[in-house]
Amino acid sequence: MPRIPLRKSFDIIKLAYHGCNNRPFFHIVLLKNISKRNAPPMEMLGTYDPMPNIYNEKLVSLDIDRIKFHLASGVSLSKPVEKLLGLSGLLPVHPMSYMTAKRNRQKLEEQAESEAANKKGEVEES
Amino acid sequence: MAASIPFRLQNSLSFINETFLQFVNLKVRHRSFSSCSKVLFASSDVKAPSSPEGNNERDPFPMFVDSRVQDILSRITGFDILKVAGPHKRHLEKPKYKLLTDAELKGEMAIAKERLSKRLQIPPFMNPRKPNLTPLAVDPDLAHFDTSSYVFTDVTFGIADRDRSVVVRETDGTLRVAPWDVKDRMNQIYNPREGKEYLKPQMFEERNLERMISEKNYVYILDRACCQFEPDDPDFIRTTHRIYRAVDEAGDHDDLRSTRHFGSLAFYLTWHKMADLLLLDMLNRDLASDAKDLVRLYTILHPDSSCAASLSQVSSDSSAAQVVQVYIDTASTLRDELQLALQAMEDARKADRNGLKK
Amino acid sequence: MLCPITLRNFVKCGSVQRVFLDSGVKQVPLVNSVRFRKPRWLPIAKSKEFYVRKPTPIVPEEAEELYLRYSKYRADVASIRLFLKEQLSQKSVNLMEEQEKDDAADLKLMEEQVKEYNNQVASLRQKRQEQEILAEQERIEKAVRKQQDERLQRSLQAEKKLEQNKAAQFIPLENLDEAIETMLDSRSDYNYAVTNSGELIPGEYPDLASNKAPPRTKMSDVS
Repeated sequence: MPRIPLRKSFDIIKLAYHGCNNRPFFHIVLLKNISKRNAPPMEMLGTYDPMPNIYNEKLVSLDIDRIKFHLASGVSLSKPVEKLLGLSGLLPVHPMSYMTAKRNRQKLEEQAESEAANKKGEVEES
Repeated sequence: MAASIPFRLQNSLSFINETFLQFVNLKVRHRSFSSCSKVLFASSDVKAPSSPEGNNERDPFPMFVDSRVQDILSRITGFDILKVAGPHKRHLEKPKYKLLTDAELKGEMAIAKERLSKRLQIPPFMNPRKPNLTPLAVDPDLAHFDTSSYVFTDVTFGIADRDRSVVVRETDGTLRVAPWDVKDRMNQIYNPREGKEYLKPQMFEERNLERMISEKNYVYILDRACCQFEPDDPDFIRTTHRIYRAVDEAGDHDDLRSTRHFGSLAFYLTWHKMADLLLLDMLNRDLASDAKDLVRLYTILHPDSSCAASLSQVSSDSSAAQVVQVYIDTASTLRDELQLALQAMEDARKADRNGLKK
Repeated sequence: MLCPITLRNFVKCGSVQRVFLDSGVKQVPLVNSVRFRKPRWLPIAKSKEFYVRKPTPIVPEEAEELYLRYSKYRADVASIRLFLKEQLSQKSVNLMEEQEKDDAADLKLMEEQVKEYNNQVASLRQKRQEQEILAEQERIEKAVRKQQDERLQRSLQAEKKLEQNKAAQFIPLENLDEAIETMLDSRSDYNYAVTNSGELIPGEYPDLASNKAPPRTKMSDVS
């Protein structure tokens, strides 16, 4: 009898890191949730390159047909994949994407305010 | 709080229908092409915008794919086997020698001719494609979610490059169909084609292009453009039209003969009613049937012109000289030169005939 | 941390070299930096003994928004999944129906082809069988005729032979005496001996014995 109870095993679409040092690159793969990160995938469903190219774009490729099939057959999604699919418009946008957007906007606003204050101060000084 | 969250399910569903079934829309668009061409041919009294400036608005593609036009274009292209099968860059191979009977040799020649005729496929003549500006989804809540935009490419197995759906999520949260240049780049990244480059070669920039034209590397530029661009790419259209104009001005029509670009050249010149120099070249080279075909092409492309009207009264099996004469009388701008050339051709033919009789 | 390289903790890292380069040293020593990892059996490090992770701060406004958004999101995703599932099942049903239709059409086509083939073969067979029956009948008739012929011929020949034999051997009454006479006259005596060399040694009636003398074969010849 095993001492540690067996983990629940299910299929999941997740990112597998296939970059090297300081150059991240991800494969979007279908795997068991308990398998290793870079285990040979059951199916490869796309790629994600998080480093923006010279046109300031992050490239994502998706095998839409297969992803739709897996969604229909009840495969679960990891959070980054959910976010990517949300941005692609296949699924609704993930709540955390909205949250990061909101936080970023707040940060930008604060920055702008502080800059404006600095400028004002400089003008007053001069 | 709840009111601030718009209902997004419909958005996403409509997006599924809009983008990932885009090829359906493409097909619909093609259907509209064909119906348009039918309308144009069915009733000649339907006034298409046929003023010289209006030519840009008329869509040449349905005319171009018409079988009559294709027949004429492939006929006047010619088939100089030495030119078509001429020197090409490729790996060196040892020649193969075979001992053949006459019948086998004939068969081999037929196969080779069929293979070579594929090299003469005429690139489509289209209007520049229009950018798709309506966004698929606007989401101001998502603005500044990242510092760079995301490009999503559908890499479903067996999807063609033209049918591939590519969408962009901008940094301000709008989701839109990718602009054409992005789509081309994505196609080149995920489905690279030989001879096409990721970045547009500098050769196609205005300055370098002019230099290449002055060196008369027409076929090279056109081949390269065919590899690099889609046929409805504004760059392709600009480049090729520039070359056609240069060829026409320099009178180098013969350089393009027996290549895949001659049909496009003839179509371009006829479409813009500037085929006089080409016709002159044909007459000077004693290509009477080609000249007749060219005039017929002119009447097909401009059914409302006076040339078409007066040519419809001439019987269909009349000689090339008669047909060309009608064109010279009604539509030509280089009347004297053409008349002279026609006369010279006729005289030469007569002299030949007399020589044969004697 | 600089440690000796062990097989277990061999980690490639350029950070050490970078530190040296940044500090202006030209010649960089060949050093592999190894990040020490605690084996499972070691206890928690002294410095981390009473470490408790600070929970991520929760902003109440954000939490409320997230809660609403998450519930909406989950419902949406579930409905999309359901929609896709329906689509898929419809597709598969359509596919199955199409498959069945195709199969039925195939079967029908095959049946037709087989029927046609059968008919063709049947007609051919009938023709062939008729011919065969005709040939067989002819053969039998021929054979019967031949047999009858032969039988007739044989009987005729037998009769002929009988006639001939009758003519040769039959002794009518008038010739009886004569025949008796000749029979009596043609007496022969077999009472003789043969020597080793094959010579006859006659008995009582040497004259008669000579009539029926056996061929003179010597024993030496025989052996």
